[in-house]
This record gives sequence, structure tokens and C-alpha cells, in this order.
Amino acid sequence: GKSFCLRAHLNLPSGRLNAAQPLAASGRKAPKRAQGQKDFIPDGSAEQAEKLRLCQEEQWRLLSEERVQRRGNLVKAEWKPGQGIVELQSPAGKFWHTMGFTQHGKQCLLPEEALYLLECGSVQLFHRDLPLSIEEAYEILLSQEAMDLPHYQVCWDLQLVQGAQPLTVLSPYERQLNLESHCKSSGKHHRCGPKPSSILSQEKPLSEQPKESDAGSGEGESNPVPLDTGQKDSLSPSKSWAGDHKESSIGTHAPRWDFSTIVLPNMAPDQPCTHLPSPDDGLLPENVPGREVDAAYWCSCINQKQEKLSRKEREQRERESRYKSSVNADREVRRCSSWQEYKALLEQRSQQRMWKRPLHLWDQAVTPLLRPDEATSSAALLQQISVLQPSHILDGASRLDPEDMKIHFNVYQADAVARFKKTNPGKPYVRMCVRSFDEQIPSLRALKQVTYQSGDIPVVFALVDHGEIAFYSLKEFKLPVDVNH
Amino acid sequence: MAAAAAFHPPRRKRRVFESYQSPFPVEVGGKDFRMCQAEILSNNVIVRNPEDIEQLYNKGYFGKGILSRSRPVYSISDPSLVAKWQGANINMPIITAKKYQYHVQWAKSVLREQGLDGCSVTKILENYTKPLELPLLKEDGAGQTAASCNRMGPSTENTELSRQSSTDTGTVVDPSPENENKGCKKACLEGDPAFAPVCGSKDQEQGDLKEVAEVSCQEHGFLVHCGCKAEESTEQRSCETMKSKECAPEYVLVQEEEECSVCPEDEAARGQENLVKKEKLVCRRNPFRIFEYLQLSLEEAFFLVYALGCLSIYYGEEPLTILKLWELFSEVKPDFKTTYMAYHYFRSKGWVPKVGLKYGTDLLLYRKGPPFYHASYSVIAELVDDNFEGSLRRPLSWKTLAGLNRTTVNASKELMLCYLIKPSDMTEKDMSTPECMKRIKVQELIVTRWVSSRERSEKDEF
Repeated sequence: GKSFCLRAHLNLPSGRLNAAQPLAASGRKAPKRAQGQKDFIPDGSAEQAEKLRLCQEEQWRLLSEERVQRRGNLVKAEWKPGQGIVELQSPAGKFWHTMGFTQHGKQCLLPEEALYLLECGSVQLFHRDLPLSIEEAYEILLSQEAMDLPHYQVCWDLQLVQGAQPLTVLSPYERQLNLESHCKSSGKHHRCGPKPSSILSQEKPLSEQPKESDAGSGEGESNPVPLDTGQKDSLSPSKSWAGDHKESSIGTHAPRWDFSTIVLPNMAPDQPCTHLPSPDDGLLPENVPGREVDAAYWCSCINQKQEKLSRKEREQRERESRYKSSVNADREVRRCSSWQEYKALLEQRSQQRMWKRPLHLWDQAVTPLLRPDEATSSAALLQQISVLQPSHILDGASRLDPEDMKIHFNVYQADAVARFKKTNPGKPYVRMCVRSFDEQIPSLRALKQVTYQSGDIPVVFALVDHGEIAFYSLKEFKLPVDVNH
Repeated sequence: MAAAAAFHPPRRKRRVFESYQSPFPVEVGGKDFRMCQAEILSNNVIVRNPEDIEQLYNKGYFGKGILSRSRPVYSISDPSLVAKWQGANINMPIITAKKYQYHVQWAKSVLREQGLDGCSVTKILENYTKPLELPLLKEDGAGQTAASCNRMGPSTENTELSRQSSTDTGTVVDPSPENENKGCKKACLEGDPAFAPVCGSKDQEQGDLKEVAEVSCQEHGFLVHCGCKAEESTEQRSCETMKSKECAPEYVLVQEEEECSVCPEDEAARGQENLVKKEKLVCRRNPFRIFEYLQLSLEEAFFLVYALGCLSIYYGEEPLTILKLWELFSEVKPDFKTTYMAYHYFRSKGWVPKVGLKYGTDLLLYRKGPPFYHASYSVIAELVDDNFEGSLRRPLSWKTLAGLNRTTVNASKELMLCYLIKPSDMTEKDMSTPECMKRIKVQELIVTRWVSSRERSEKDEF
């Protein structure tokens, strides 16, 4: 017959072990889940006592069941206390695919493997020529330091689901150390999170630089020939001046032009200045005559054709007209007769808008991190206040001595069993540390050390408490930056 | 299974009643920069100015209203009465007569504490609490105002309030808008100047006013706006804004019963000489105003000062420097530095950290703010040295961690451990300035429970 493990017997649907089932009695078929509150406190009632009695009876019945095993299939194995291992006396069965090892030409099992197989009914354990009962086997095999009961329970828990085949394959970590050379060398550091980047201002090539930002030539536009015949567009920065400009900026001589006396004629339709006097000869290039001109005729020649806008352009204009306004609409701007005055006006206005810096915050050794005028965007603002550095779990882990935080098992996924070979097990799914519920959680130090040991395989902590096992992991995380709300 | 924890996007709340304004009370680009003010009262940081409160709460969800669940929304008004008197259509709080009496009693005891004798107190209060003509009562274009709104009680659907009652009481106020304003002004000045001294000119007697201001101040203000005179006169702006909002008396509608022998509206009752109890709303001034303030946690307050520079915190009359605040808050709360660093870190990532008390942790992290998303993370902060060890504020056993994780997960959050790593050569002196944060590193860890395939399949069975 099919042999299955003891624990599997106890894996009854929870409805049967759970004492409180008021609804189950109402004639439903096997209840999927127990309803209502669990009985967790003795209430001294006869009903509760009866339920408990039935449960206990069931358990005893199961436990006392004799298991049928084909003798022929049982592998004989002998416990060798001196070496702390079990030596097979007859050839191994199917379990050899995932368990056991060879030593001195003999097939051997580790104590926990032997115990597991004993419970499964796959091996028969002998010690001093006498077969061991399960109880005896537990006592003797688990008394060694290498494996204690909690560890064993974890093994059990992970292996066992529904019966014959273990879903996960365990292989004690110590064995792995001999095979995996890549384990120690994984120094891959996953740098997550944004690197703090400084906000660099772009240095534009000289030709693209706006003229006024040039250091050497003082304020204002350095377009030296404003009084023109109207043919030259005197107000736009032209590339041809770049050359001159460069030279003058290097030298330290005074600017050639007295900008306070230079007035730029406004030839816009709203304030026509059509009479242009003759330019100063000294300002003209050689062989270029200048003359006085009345540009009125020319002004009447321009803007004749109606600008035909596409629908999109019209709509855009209409939208903009709602909130956009001409700079010249501002009376104070119109009062400025030169670029210098305009810049002064802008400066004055920005001064008014600037926040008053309270002395008790700013006139001190430690000042606020944010300079509001430098916060050009939400991201820039966050950047300014980010002073703490990120750290990764593996940072500094390599210099830590491996301590007593041991990895006990590698766990492989069920579907990997087919591909599993003891000589080449492949990559584990997780690595496991067995701990007790009453222990403190690992310090950051211990966690780093064990994570480093594990390389890129996640570490899971298995906590045992009276047969109940819970698995937890403490994982590296980097909270993403949230900027665009 | 990955070695690092996955980021699970926050869950948006199904119903959102607010619109998002700004991540911080600081405008990008620095225009219209506004300095807010707070003060320290018994080791707590509170903000009194209503505009500052709005600014700090609406832009970044800083603080908590001391009389509300989070956003300061305290109103003296009784919502059930407001619903009942829906037809009245007035923007004034409605309270029961009983409640009004409490306020009168409180005002009485405050005045008594100030040394006034019983006779004066009664006189003062009688005068202050007398019924008033309702200013600014607009009723469906009728523009009539009335001294009181009569009604036969909740069962009667009588919406013809103003005209009836105006006939009754014989008072009619000119409905033109100018007069409405006058009426309002009139109501403002109606009070005896002695009780609304701050509303009047500044050259009132400073002596007893200051006393009054200081005594009655803490969470409420009787007639006088507290703090206005007690502060430096450099704070003119706040003084003025506070005047405008808080110094004007608060008008309330008190639901009172009145015995009425003749009920002209009710035809059926005509002829009966029975006394009928009528409920009506009477407009009176509230002699004991309760102001709700915004309370900032130490971390929030320090962040606003140090990171953003948009808050000034006063202790008495003195605005405190950043260093002084760092020192002071560390004295008030021994672990302040640790929790502050965690707070600062999460704020600099654009998240909104709020206090984690309800979940047994230090912080709850919200994306954008509590009104928009459910909190995603519940955080415990610890300070360690660069050997990654330290005396923990909250040592956890696996058992405790399991319990904490369970309650956290049940509330659809993830449990996060935030380790702040300081260099071993960092001394106490180094840590006496917040600049020490530049040398500190942050390690986040997420606690996850691993479900083995066995458990998973068990779940499938059921």
C-alpha cells in the first residue's frame, strides 16, 4: 500500500479538529471552513468535553494504526553515532535522487534525512543490530548538536504537503559550501534609488549666450549702432557681433558706448517715431553714407497683408489673450526710456517680492536648508532638503565577521526537483535560518552579515513555536521618490 | 522571490473630498513666500493664526486640529440643529439654549477670575448676550432681516419666517445692501468697548488688557483675542489678520423656547387661549469663544523651520533659532533626533509622514496626504552606529514583531524598519546640530511574511 507520513494523518481538514462547529451540524456536507469562533477557553461544559474526547480518540486511533509496508522496499540503514551519520546497508530507493551522500564508497544519510525517511516508511533504522522505533530514533538522532528539534520541524514542514513526494528539497548548507564557490564571491551591489545629483547650470557656448550676460561690456545690449536707416534690424542680437564681443570682453577697457545717451527709437505702430536723424559719421563704417530719413512711408508699407492664421493658431491666440498681456501695457515699463531703466525696474520689483529673511533663522550658524528662490521645481525643492544618504543592505557587509547567524538550509522550489542533482543543485529559491520566537530579531549587523553570506538569494527566518512554524523575511527596500502629484 | 522588497503602489481612497494644493507651504520659485508662526505651550507646538493654520494644513498636511480628528474643522454649531432649521438659510452656527448657557457660565467664571465682582459680571454679560438683530440675512431676495425666526417646531413646514416674525416683533430693517453693511458694523460696535478692546483702536489701556489677554488665553478667548497684545509688535501682520477674523464677536443662533399665547400662523389654534411652546432662533453673541488651534508634532514643527524655513516658533516672546529648537526638542523628547531624521528622510522623498501612535509605530507614510491615499507604510525608526548595532529604542522579539506585523497587515499596510546609521566617530557634540544629518545614512527594511507552498495549498483546499 501507499505509505504516507505521520504528519499527513494529522493534516485533517480543520473542521474536524476544530471543536466549535455550530453550522456543520446543520446537515451541510463536509464543511469547507469551520464557522464561528474557535473554542479557546475551557468552559467546563459537557459538550466541549465530549468534543475534545472525540478528537483525542481520533488522534490515538491514528497514531496506533500500524502502517503497512512492503518489506522488500524497506532500505536498511545503520546509525553510526561516532560519525553522526546513517549508513545504508542495502541500495537506496527513489529518495537517493534528492537525499543522501556518498562517503568512503558507501551510501549515507544525514540524521534528519534518515529520520524523515523513517517516518515516511522508506527506511528501517538499526542501531546495534536492533531496529529503532520512531520515538527512539528521534531521541538518538536529534540529540546531536548538528540538528535539534526545531530545525527538524522546519525541514519537515517544508517537505511535507500531501503525501508521498516531498515538494521541496532540503540540503544542509554546510554541504553546499563545498560545492558553491560562487556563494562567497557575489559582491553584486544593487544600487537602488536615485543618486543625489547636483544641479549644474549649463554652460552654453558663447555664440548662444545672451549678450547681456557677458561680463566685460557693462549693462545693456551691446548693439552699438541703433540709429540706422531702418534696414538693419538693430535690436536683435546678430551672430556677427559675437566676434567683436569676445574681444572686448577680454580686455578691461571702458565700454565704447555711453548707453545712457543712446535711445532706441520705438517704431512700433502704436507709438510711431518716424523721423530718424542722420547718424554720426564716426559710427558708420567706411564708405557707408548715412542720411536723415522719414520712415513714415516705410511704416505705411508694412503690415499690409492680413495675417492668415490657421484655426489652431487662432484658438491659441484667443486663449493667450485671456491671460497674456503685452509688456508694454505696463505703464511703468513704458516710462523706461532705456534698457538700463527697464532692468532697474525689474530689479526693484524683484526686491519687493523677495521674502524677508528672519534674522533668528538666517543670521545664525545653522540656517534653513531651503532657499526659496532656488526651488525652481518640486524636484529641485526635494533635492535641496535631501541631506540624508541612502544605504543598501550590503553596504559594509563584507567587512563583517561571519558570526553565529547561520544559514541552515537551502530551499529549492518544487518544480526544480526534477532538475535537482546533488552534485549540481542549481540556485536555491530561498535560504533559511531557524530561530526561536523568543529571540530578538536580528540586529542590522547580523542581518547584513547573513544577507551577504547568502549572496543574491533571499534569506527567510523560520520561527518554530510548539510545532507551529512561521516564516518571515526582512528585505532591503528603497522608498521611491514621489514628485509628480 | 526577489531579494529586495517590491514596491506596492499606494491604494487610492475611494472617495476624495479635497483637491490637492501643494506638497509644501512654500511656493516653487519662491514667490509669495509666507512665514507662519507657532508658539510653544507646555512642550507642545501650536499655531493659532487661522490663515497660518490653513496654509500649513492644506499644503502638506502638517499638524492636527486640537478639537478635531485631523483637519481643524471644529465648529460650535450643532449639525442636527442646522439640519432642522435648514429653511432659515443663515451662515451662523446654531446651538441649543443649554449649550449657550454653558458658554455664559464659562464666561462668567473667567470674568470672576479676573477679579470682577458678581454684580459687574452679571451686568456685563447681560449686556453682551442680549438678543440682536440678525445682520446680513438674505432670504431668497427678500432682503428682510429679522430679530428672530419663528417656527412652530420641527413638524410644521413653515418657511415664511422672516415676514411673519418681523410683523410680530415690529422690527424691520431696510433691505438695501448699504444698510446691511451698516447693520453689520453696528453689531460690531454694539459691544461695550471694554470687552472688545482689541477690535478698537490700539491706544486702549495696555495694562489691564494684557492681563486679560494672558489669563483667558489658553484654548479659548473670551471676547479678547489672546496673544495679540502679548506678542512683539513686530508681528503686525498677524495681529491684524487675527483681529479681522477672531476679534469680531462670534454670532450664534440659539434655539430657544418661547411661550406664546397667540399663534397667528396657525388657524386651527385661533381661538384657543392655550400657551404653546414655540421654538425660535435668537441671534446672540457668544461670550466664550472656543478657538481651535493646530498642533504640530515636534518633528513637523522642526521640519517647517529647518528644512523649509517657513515657520517661526516662539517661546514666550522670543523666536527660537534652529539650534535652540534642536536642543529644546531633544530635551522634551529624548528620541527626538532619531524620529526627526526618519521624518525628514520621508518628507524629502515627497511622502507625508504622520504620527504612528494608533498602530504602535513611529510614523505612518502617506502618499500625497491622508485624504487621498490610505497609509502605505508603518515605520519604526532606530539609530545605530556604523557597526550596525546600537541600543534600540524598541527591541523586538520575533514574537512581538509577528504581532506587530499582523496588526499592520490587517490594516493593509506594510511594516517598515528604518535604520539610521551614524558614523562611529560622531560625537554627542556633533549631534547637537541638525547638520549631523548630512553624515547619516538610511536603511529601510520591509517585514514580510513568507507563506510556504504548504500553507498556500492548504488555503487552496479551503
